[in-house]
Amino acid sequence: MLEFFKNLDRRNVFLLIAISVLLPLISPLGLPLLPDPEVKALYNQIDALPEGSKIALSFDYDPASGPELKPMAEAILHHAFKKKHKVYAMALYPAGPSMANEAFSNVADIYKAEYGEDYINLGFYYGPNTGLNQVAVFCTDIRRAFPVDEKKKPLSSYPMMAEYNSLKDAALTISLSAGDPGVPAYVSVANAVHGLKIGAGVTAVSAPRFYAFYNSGQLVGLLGGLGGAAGYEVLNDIKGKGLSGMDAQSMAHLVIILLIVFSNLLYIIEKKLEE
Amino acid sequence: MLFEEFTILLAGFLTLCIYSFLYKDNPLYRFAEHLYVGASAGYLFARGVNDVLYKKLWVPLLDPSPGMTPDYWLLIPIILGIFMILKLVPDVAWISRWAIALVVGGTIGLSMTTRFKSDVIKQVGATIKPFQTMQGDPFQSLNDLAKTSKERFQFSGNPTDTLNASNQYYLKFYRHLRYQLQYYEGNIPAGSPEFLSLKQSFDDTKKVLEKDLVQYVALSRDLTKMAQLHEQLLLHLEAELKKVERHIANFVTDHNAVKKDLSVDYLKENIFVMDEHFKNCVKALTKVKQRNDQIQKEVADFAANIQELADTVRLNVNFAFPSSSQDFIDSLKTNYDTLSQREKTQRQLLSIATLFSETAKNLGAFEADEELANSLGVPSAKGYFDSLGQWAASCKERLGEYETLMASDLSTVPREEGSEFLKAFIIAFGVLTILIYFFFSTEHKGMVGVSAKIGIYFLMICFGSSFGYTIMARISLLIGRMQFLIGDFWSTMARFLSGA
Repeated sequence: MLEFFKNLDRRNVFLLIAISVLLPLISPLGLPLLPDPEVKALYNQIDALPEGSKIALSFDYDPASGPELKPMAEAILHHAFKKKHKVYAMALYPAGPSMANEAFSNVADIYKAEYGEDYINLGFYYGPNTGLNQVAVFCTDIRRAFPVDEKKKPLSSYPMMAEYNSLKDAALTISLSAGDPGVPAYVSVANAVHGLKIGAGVTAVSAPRFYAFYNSGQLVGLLGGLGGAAGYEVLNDIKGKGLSGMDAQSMAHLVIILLIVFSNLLYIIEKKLEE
Repeated sequence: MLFEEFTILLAGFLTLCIYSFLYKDNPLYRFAEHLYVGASAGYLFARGVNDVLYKKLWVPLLDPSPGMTPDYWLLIPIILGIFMILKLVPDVAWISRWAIALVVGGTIGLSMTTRFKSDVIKQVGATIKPFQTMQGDPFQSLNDLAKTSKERFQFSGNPTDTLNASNQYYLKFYRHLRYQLQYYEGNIPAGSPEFLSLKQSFDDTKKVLEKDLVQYVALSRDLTKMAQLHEQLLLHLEAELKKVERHIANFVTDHNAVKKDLSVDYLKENIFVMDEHFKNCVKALTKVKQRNDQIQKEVADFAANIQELADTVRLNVNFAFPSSSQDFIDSLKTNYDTLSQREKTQRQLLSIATLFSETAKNLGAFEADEELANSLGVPSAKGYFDSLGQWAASCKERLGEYETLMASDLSTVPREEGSEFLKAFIIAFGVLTILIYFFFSTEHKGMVGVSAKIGIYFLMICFGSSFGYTIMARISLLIGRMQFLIGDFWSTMARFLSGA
């Protein structure tokens, strides 16, 4: 028996994980979910802003991180449009503007938000990989980075750009970031140099690094991975892709934990037998 | 088949090709892998050419916007770029080091000023800050309060802004009182520097409260004027409503009279739109009317309360510094209660501001802001009645903080400070032991060895939690793909196979 498990083909583990993910997606379990304090902090920041406030949302990711960051983007947009805030999208990733368009197209119609009046996609600004230069430009003169928007129209033709000249005009800046460039650049330049309020949505891989920024007050709120997105959806009372994926996420984690415990038990038993 | 459906099927096919590697290596996996790498490289190359060579070099140098001169400074990065490529020519490869040196130097220079501040200074500050708070230095909170009161005295703005600044001051003052009460209970060294500093803080607070009163009186005057205009607004809105009514009647009469060759649908549609507009206006006017009585009452109450508060502050508030420790404690408690009365006034103000901003929202139904503004003698009717809206939102946030603070026991420090201290201690201890582990100039023996060993445990916990997050990220990606496969891909595939 011990030999059987020791020599178990790893493909069985893959199959087990696939089943643990697939079944809850087909038949949701409705497991409870409590939002973390850092998720609540970001939610409260947006919620406390007066109606019509400006929110800069940086789409610093590409399709590879979409499953984690897209639900966050949509949850934040739901909240922002519900509160009638103005959303200014920009990107430090080349694919960011497409990600922004996708998120806007899924949410804007629900709240009858109009392009150029309630939200705008400024596009991607090329620069070195660290993103420091780009964010420095955003903080001083946004028009230098984006003379035209993603649709190639001059910014002066949009009413919502009349009083938006730099990130300093935004009540809150949020970076949805898959790594560098992204949150580190906003924290290092927009927060550390200009003292602006920064919120972040990051992939789970990079989340541990950013908790330090949240604890020190350099980030006003943080969404980490799919769990963060799902927590925001709970607070916002919407059922998005974050929540629908959390059952599968929990089941897969449970299977992994059981496998780790089981493997360790086998190891201990084997040791005992050897003795 | 539509192009979109084709891309969904292709994406699904490529996803399955990649997943087939989990079974074993195969040509389908190789095909998908090479396609992905090739497409990514091609995409990045195209972006590089478009975003850098074309937009940042070609256009500013050779095809500048009308009225702009070519930017010849860009020749420098072009030359440096050529230097970089020379790395491929062995004889002159050394030239590339100049360009590399500039890039590395520039990046480090930029990082030094930004990342050093955010990643080192602020992080170290955040690590030691909880210890400073727990240190129990009575002068720390006094100094903080003195700084805030100085800022408060220098602050100039409209009544709502100055009262908002006072809110922040009082929040700090309450914390300070509680802190001092803890520290000095039964132990006030009379005539000591602490004694004198405390006296100063009491005097400052009295001044702030008196300054506030001036603002309150000014605000009360403004609110009374706003309430009067609100009364007038009703008359103007009724007139506007009649205009809308007349417009509908005229539209119907005109079209009947001239018997224009217009379709019934056109007439119906127009009348429907105008009727909807009329209904909205009636609804808005009803709400404004209902609200008017409440506004008149609350503004009158507010004016009366201000008078009462002024009397309390001028006559009853005991800001004279007490001579004994028990007097001091009693005085702190009395002043704490008195100051809480001020918060009740703030709450009333918030309620009035909310009522006015709701009226501002109703004015949107009339689409006659300019006419209304002219008749009321203000720049914008909506803006005028919503002028307190933004302040109200920030006041609401602050009042929430007061609620938490005042609901707690006056004689104890906030409970979270203990857990904050424990958390801060663990973090600082972990940082220290990890640093010791990475210090190799001393042999890891004795206390250093024990510390280094504890540092390893901290590192293991850190790596373990990071690994946990990594698993979560990878599973999220798997979930994303699974959602695509059982959603879009499967439904498209089913339609394709059924020939629909």
